[in-house]
Amino acid sequence: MANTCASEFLDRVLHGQGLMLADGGMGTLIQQAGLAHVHDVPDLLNLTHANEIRDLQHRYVEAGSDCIATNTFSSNRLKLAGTDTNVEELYIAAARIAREAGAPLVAGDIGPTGSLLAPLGQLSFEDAYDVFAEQARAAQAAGCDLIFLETFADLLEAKAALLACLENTSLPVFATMTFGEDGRTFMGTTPAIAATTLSALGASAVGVNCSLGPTEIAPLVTQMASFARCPLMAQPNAGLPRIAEDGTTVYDVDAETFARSMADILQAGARVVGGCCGTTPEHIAALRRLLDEGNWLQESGPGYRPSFVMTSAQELVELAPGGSKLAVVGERINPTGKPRLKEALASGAYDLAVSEAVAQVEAGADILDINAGVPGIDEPRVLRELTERLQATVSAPLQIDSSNPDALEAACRSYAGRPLVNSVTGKAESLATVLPLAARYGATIVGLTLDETGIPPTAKARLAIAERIIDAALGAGLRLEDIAIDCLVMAAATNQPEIPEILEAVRLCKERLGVRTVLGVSNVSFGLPVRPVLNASFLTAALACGLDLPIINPLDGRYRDAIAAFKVINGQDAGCLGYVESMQDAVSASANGSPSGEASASGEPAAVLHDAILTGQRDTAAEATRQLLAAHDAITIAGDVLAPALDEVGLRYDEGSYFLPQLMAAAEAAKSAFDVLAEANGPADATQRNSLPIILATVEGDIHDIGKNIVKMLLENYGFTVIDLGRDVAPQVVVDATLDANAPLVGLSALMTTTLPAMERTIALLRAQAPQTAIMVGGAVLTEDYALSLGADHYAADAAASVRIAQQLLA
Amino acid sequence: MRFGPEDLPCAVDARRARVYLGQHGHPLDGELEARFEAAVRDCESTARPRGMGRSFALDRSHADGIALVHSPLILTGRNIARHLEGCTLTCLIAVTLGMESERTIARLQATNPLDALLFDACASSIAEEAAQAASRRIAGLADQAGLVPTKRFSPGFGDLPLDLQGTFLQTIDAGKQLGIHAGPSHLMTPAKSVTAIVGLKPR
Repeated sequence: MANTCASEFLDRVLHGQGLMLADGGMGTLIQQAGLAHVHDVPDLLNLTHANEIRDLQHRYVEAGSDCIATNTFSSNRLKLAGTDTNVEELYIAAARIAREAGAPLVAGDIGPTGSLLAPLGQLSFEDAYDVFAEQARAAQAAGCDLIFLETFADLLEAKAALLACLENTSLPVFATMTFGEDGRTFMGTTPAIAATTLSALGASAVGVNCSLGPTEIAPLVTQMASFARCPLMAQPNAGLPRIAEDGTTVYDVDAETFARSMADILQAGARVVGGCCGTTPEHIAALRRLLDEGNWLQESGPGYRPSFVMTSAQELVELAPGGSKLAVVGERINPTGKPRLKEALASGAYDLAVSEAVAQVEAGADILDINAGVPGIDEPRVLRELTERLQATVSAPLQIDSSNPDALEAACRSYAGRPLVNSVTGKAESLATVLPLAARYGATIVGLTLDETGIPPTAKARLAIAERIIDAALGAGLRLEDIAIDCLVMAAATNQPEIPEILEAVRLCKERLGVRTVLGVSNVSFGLPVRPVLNASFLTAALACGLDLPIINPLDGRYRDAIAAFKVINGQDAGCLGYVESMQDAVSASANGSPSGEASASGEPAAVLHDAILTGQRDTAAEATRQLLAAHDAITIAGDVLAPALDEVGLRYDEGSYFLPQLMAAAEAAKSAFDVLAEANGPADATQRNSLPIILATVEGDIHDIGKNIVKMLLENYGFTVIDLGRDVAPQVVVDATLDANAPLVGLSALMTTTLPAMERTIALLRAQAPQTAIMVGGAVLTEDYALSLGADHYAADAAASVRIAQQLLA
Repeated sequence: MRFGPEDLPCAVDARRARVYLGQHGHPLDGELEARFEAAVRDCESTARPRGMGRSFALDRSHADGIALVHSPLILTGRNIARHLEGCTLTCLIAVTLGMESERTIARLQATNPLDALLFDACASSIAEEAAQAASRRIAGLADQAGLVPTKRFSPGFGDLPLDLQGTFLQTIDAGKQLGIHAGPSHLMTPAKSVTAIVGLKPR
């Protein structure tokens, strides 16, 4: 452990009252010393070349570093696999070396795992957490005074590392990420997003390392300043890399120039500084002189700006106190009253939720509320999976909506950003369970103005509950700017006198309590006709009272118009450009007389439908099907029109006049026709010609599922029921799903030769436990002979072949 | 001899993208063609092609294959040995369209598989364009040095094993420089990335 003097110094730094000089590039010195190629993992030098590493680190101590980072950037169990050492041993050796080098403070250094997190890669959040937790415990056991997390490009991985350090050690954690010339990480994270998310989560310092030179990094540090609740840190490279004539990478910024450029970073408010690639003891010595000469603690930079801020890995939504900006929360990812979504969530199918998310974002949602409250499901698992799926596909920040604290925690934990937790109430139990988890995950929170006595009717009583929630939240470690209050909209049909009270409560919360406000707007019209009219008027009235976060269906045209109009009134839509754009559709629609698709289906409807399927026209196919329904039942339309049209498509594909795009477009058009039939017949319709489901899965170890997804789409659009188990599916999971659903056919895909053994295992297990089920397989590396030798019944050379196999077996 | 990481501005080669779709260069019809054109625009605004190249001396004394000096990479198999015949240096190149096009494909697969297919084909064509741009960068540098480049040869071609992809990327630090990672099955993320080996022989 550090001596008392060093500990007091660290304490001052943690409180923004001290300036810490870290070290410079370690890889650079190792390279200069000719040690770069001794091991594949340079950290092993701690064991084989301890004296040399100590001498290199001693040069940084002599140059004036207050803190030396251990030579453990890659010392995680994934990168050490295949070496004969372990994580603990390396941290013990590395910390001892740094101490022997004379380091006043020793930071246990942790870099990224080197593997991609799911869903892009295969490392799960919890596995990444375990990898980092092992390092964090090793760093503390080795006597490190603090931990550096550095060079992270993936915000979710940085979050896993930070949580692992905070939950497994008592050490302060300084977290830095690396950004490109476009000011984002490879995963699209900006400095403001990183600073918000990591500092809210509990980092003791946040910042930028590596990336670029000090001149380029200064504006990134400035961007962080307004969003960081802790001291800022910067360890730039010695300029941008340049290729020397002998082919080596050189960094051109010399020590004095480096130090001069660092002045801008100190002025931006950085309190922990050092260097990364290309920086040497000379750079650090020059920086030491700069620190000692200036009165940098007087330079506060822009400073932290208390705002309501939530983030995804790619986007940030900020509502500043006193500002009039609003942010639209999309409400549609909620299974209440949506049977299809309910069924999809219950079966672990998230594509429908992704579609809802994309549609809402396109319609103007800034934030997406997500709720998986289906009775009887494992809500923590489903809400977590839904969160993970959405954050991989859409960029809008998520509002995690559940009354189940375990579900809130599960989703918040692996959310790649700073979520909004919806919600806590004034009830004692809710305050005691939800607020601590919001604080632990650095979330913002929605507080509902209800308590054990219910929802009070008056504005004053709602305000009183809001005050109690705020007091409890502040006590739990949240800040005032993290809180939004939902004053709870009642139905005008039943509680009309309360409507003005609700609006007054919103005004009072804003004025007296200084918090953001939320309302689930459409409750107001419950039980009344033409609800959008009342909803939109109430929305405008509430916005005028200071509503910040309206929870609405952004696809509703009246809401959209009201929001567009209000953004002109509050000035958020500068120059009215957004209003003009959003009204263009309205203008052109009224000029054309009718929306597209209606008039296009002319001629005999059966022929039109047939032609629409063959040419892949979705709207025309739907309209023709509607016309046909006037005179025919759904089964006749499906059997006499849709089936022959799809057969014709298959024929054209076989003879080579249609290719995959035409095949899929035809399937899409057929689907829009089937959807019309299903709508007409209700959910349990007879047009699903084949009711027993087909199970699809990409085998264990394989995450390449584009082919399987095309097969799924075609099968569904040809009227088959499909249960898609996704990718990287364990054999037993396939078997269990097959038995559960009594599936007559299983389709397995594998792209890689390396995953064919997993396909073989899955087939063997199916044969043993579900011998009645037929198995078809496909994938780039398979041939017919090989497929049969693996034990499959059928080989699907392409997506169309899988449809033919299904038709033969099931039709 | 080396370049990048740097932007490699490229556009969709619509003819090639149609070939990837199985169209063999034929135009698509009507509505489908309009959707393809939208995919081209979408792809061009989303993809951010970047690339890099790093050259290495060759050590032919290694028992397992051709070793790249100062690197853990050993190129095994007869095909790459023939490809590098007469070469004194080799340049490893890597290009990628970045993570945003990866996210877009994931999003489209959930919302509309056909649009995903069209976008995927466009993205593959930009990746090929980027690989060609990287090859031209190498050719330019090689010319100044009096060297002639061979064609590109990628891990997984012929008997050059795909499983050296991870070591390939590590050798040129492509994870940190370009954000390209190899998974357990040796395919790359972002999927729209290309790695290749170019041999350099004296003129």
